[in-house]
Formats: sequence, C-alpha cells, structure tokens
Amino acid sequence: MLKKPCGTFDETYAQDIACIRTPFRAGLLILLLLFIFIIMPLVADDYVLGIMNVIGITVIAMLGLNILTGYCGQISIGHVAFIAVGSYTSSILSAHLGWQFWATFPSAILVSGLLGLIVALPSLRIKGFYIAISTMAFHYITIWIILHGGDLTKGVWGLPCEFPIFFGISFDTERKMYFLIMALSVLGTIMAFNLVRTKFGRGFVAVRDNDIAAEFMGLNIFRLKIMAFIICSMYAGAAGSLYAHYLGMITVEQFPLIDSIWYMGFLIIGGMGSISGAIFGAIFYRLIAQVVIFTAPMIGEAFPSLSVSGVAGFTQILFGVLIILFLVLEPRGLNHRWQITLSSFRLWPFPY
Amino acid sequence: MESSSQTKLIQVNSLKLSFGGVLALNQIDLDIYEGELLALIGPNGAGKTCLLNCINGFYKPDSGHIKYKGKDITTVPLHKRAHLGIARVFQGIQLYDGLTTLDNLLAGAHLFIKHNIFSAFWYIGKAKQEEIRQRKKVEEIIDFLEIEHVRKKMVGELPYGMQKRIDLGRAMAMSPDLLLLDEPMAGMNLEEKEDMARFILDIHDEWETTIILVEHDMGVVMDIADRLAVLDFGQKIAQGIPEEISRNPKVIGAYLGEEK
Repeated sequence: MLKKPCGTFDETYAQDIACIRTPFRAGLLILLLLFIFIIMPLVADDYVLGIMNVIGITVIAMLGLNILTGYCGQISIGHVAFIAVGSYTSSILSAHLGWQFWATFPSAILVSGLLGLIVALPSLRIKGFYIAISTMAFHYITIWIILHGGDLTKGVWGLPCEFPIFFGISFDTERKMYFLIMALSVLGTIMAFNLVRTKFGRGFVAVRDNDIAAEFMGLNIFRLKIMAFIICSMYAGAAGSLYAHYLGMITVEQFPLIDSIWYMGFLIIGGMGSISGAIFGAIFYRLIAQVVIFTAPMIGEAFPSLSVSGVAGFTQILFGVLIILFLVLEPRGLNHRWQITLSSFRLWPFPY
Repeated sequence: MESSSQTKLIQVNSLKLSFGGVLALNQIDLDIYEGELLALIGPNGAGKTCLLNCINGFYKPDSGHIKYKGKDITTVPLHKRAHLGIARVFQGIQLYDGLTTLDNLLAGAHLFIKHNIFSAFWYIGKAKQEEIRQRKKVEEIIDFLEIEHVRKKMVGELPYGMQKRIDLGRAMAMSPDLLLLDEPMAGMNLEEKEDMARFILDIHDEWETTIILVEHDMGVVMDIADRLAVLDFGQKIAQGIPEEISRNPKVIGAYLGEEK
C-alpha cells in the first residue's frame, strides 16, 4: 500500500477511493503527460520516437495480458496470436476493402474479442497449465490459417496496411504516429486502471486466488474468466491493429510464439497483477532489446571468435537470464521495488 | 425456544450423498427455523461439512431434497445460491490473499454491486456511486468486527485469528439470511474463541441471521447454540436443545464409545 503524506485525511469514501488524492500526485500526473505529449516530441529524434512507439504498442498489449494473467490468473501463451489477429484484421480490411483506420481499428478489436471468447470457452473445465497449452494451440491454428489463407492473407508474403488518415492528414511519420499511439496507450491505461479497481477487478483476483471460495460467494466464475479473456484479446487486437498501421506492412514472421513467452516473462519482471507493473514490464522489454542492439556489435568486436548467430542469440540469452534473476530475486517485479522506493521517500528519515 | 410456531427456513428431506462406496450422508432429515442458531456436531468424518456443502450446492445429493424458504433449491447451481442469501465461512482460510481486507469484504458484496463493465472502464456514474454505496455497507461490518486497523492490509500478511474474522466479515458482506459456519474457531486460542463466539452471537441477535454452526469445541457449542443436531457416520442420531443432547446416551456413545 502506498503511504499517504502526513496530514492527508480522508473525510469521505469518495476521497479514500480516489487515486489522485494529493495535489502532489496530480502535479506528477500532469508532468508525466506533459513529458509524453510535449517535451518528448520536442527533444527526441525519430529513432527515439520509434522506440517510444513500439513501447506504446507493447504497453497496450501488456495491459491486456496483465488483466488475464496478472489479475484473473489464467496463463496465456497465445497472446501474440491475438495481436496477429488484430494486425491481420486491420490489414485485410485496409488492403482488400480500403477501409480507413477509424473503421479497421474497432473491427480488429471486435474480431479479436470474438476469438478471445472462443478460446475462453474451454476455461470452464480446464485450469492453469492446461489452459496455457490450449492458448498455445490457438497460436498455431492462427498462424496456420494466416499461412494458408490464400489471397486473403497472402501467406508468407504478408499484407500492406495503410497509414491512418484523420481529416486528410496521413500519419505516415514516426512523429505523427507517436501522438496517436501515445494517446491510445494512455487511454488504454486509464481504462485498465479503472476496471481493476471496480467489482470486476476484485472478481478477477477472487477467481485467481480462490476460485472455489469465489463461487461460494456468488461470483459467476465462468463469466468472469470469459470476460477477462475477451478484454485481454481486445487489448491485444488494439495493439495488433496499431502495429499493422504503424509498420505499414505485416508478415507472419512478426508473430512468433516466443514473443508470447517474452510477454509473459516481462510481465513477471514488471510486476504481475498491477497496472504499473504491466507498464514497467513493457518499457523494460523494449529497452532491453535496444540495449542488445547497441551492445551486440561491441561483443562481436571483443570476441571475434563468436559467430554472427552467437551474437544474434544474445537477446534471447539476456532475456532468459533476466527473467530467471527476477523470479529468484524479486518475484513481485519492478513495480514492487518502485512502491518501496516511493514509500521510503514518504517515510524518510524513518525506516518504516 | 418454542420452535413449532416458527417458520422453517431450510428443510432437508431424506438427503443421501455417497462417494463411490462411502455413504457420506444417509437419509438426513433436518429442519432449520428462521432466526435460530443451530449447531451441527459429531465426530470427525460424520458428514457435517458434507451436509453444509449440500445446502450450499457444492455437492449434488444422490437423492433427497433441500427446500429453502419454501422453494426446492436442490438443483440450483452453487453461485446462484449466494444470490438467495446463503453465505459460508469455510474450514481453514479461504480468503483472497492478493486483496486487501477492504477488497475482500467488497468482493463478498460483489453480487450487490450493480454496474456494467462500460461504466467500470471510466469509473464514472453508476460504477462510482455503487462502489461508494457498498463501501459504506462494508465499513459497518468492519466497525462491527473491529478490524479497522487492518482495513488496507493484504490479508495474506495477517495472523490466523484475524484472517478468520475477515472470512466471517466477507460472509456478512453478502447480507445473508442463512450463514453456514464451518469450524470458525478451529485452531484459535481462548481469547480469539471468545471474540468469535461474541461476534457470532451478535450477528445472530442484531442481524437476525439464521446460523448453522459446525464446531468441535463442546463448551462453545453448548453455550451459544439454540438447538443441536448430532451426526454420526452420515446419520442424524439426535437433535434437541443443548441440555437434552448432553444427556443423550447415543451422543455420548458416538463421542466416547458405547459402554459394553
């Protein structure tokens, strides 16, 4: 629990429930938004903005996974498949029918939500490990359908996807896309944050922590699980649609199974079961990938005997090592560290 | 207590439940009157928890009927029975460890919070009103159970006695008409037991909740129960007021073994 500063007393329940309780926190939030929407685009070059764009898309996808896995406790390793569904729905509608972003984006969300519903149906009977395997099966089915989709998906060649156009302005640069992606990821964050503090969030955690007790308490477990799956896949669909419109071209290789596992791993690193944890995880995921891009050539120079593929595999090795280290040393993730840091600032100079 | 004049809240008619070859409950007939505190006792494995699970809907009986408020609820699924006003406190701790005390209680009140997912996404309008309205109700329970100081602590970090109290609070948040308590005092020290007994009596008196209590501590049971029913090997061997039961030779036999 985050400690409130001295002298902050809640007089109504509305105050106690509120997230932005003190002017300081409101200020911090405004500063963060200023940083994202004004300072960042002013100072950053296209390369940095590109990283930010990928982070923004990852945040949206990670938020969905966090609701399903972090809150509702249903392990999914088919997350990338849902992203692929979102991407391909957008691309098909854009390439074949010439639909605009404002139409393809909601369609992609709807289609992946519908598929989420179908994937969720077995979850009434199966739990934990087995539900993970069934989501993995969904991944392979999706990829197979994309590869054998004939003219519709263009198999291994992939599909082009138009850049979003609003009021005649094409969002064809990193800088323009940056505003769109950031706006949508801030929106997604707000929605997820609100969802988990209402009865639905509590219901998800109840299903995760003790599903039998939850059923005794009158919660409809099956409905909650399905709801979590649908929300998760809708977030993934939104991320996928954005990704397709951002890249302008998608192929099936952009959605490997291993990415689902990295999503899961970095959700653990960020902190499962908290919205800020998902955001930390997404940022960390993409930043570590950047670190590898910068350090890999140096490693190649320092150890010339390493083959090119050895250096290329460095990403995977680093990801794996990081996940293991976090699982052992800080299973509650970066978010837990962040909360401790915040609390100790509040409590200084006392230890607790 | 003059029972015959009162209405029956629960009627269990010739209930039978078996697991493979084991007959867990055999032809149980039991009436529970509105507003009474019935204690269900018996040696280990007598079928007390099985009976509670049948009333709660977790087990489907092989034959027999359960009537609740005059309606047959034998086939009503588990999660719907909570809507009818049947709440349960479990044996051991079955809380949601990842939630705070407050959220645990609010999760108990889940079925009274009426707002849809679209207002939940924005936390405006109905979602906010409902959350605040339920919060007020839950705060009353928190006051009643004297757990104000752990309101915002994760329940997983709290001591056992406190967790049991929160478990009781979560059941109370369901505003039940019938409260099933499965060994609420197991593993507690004397002081905690006294507190718990006081809470149970207060719930019974102030909220006028009908309570079925399964408990092994005979001292507590004899003190607080209006009426007792004794189970042994899946059969009801006696029922009546505490004084009768404590003199009943069958009950003494079941607990201490028959005199040869």
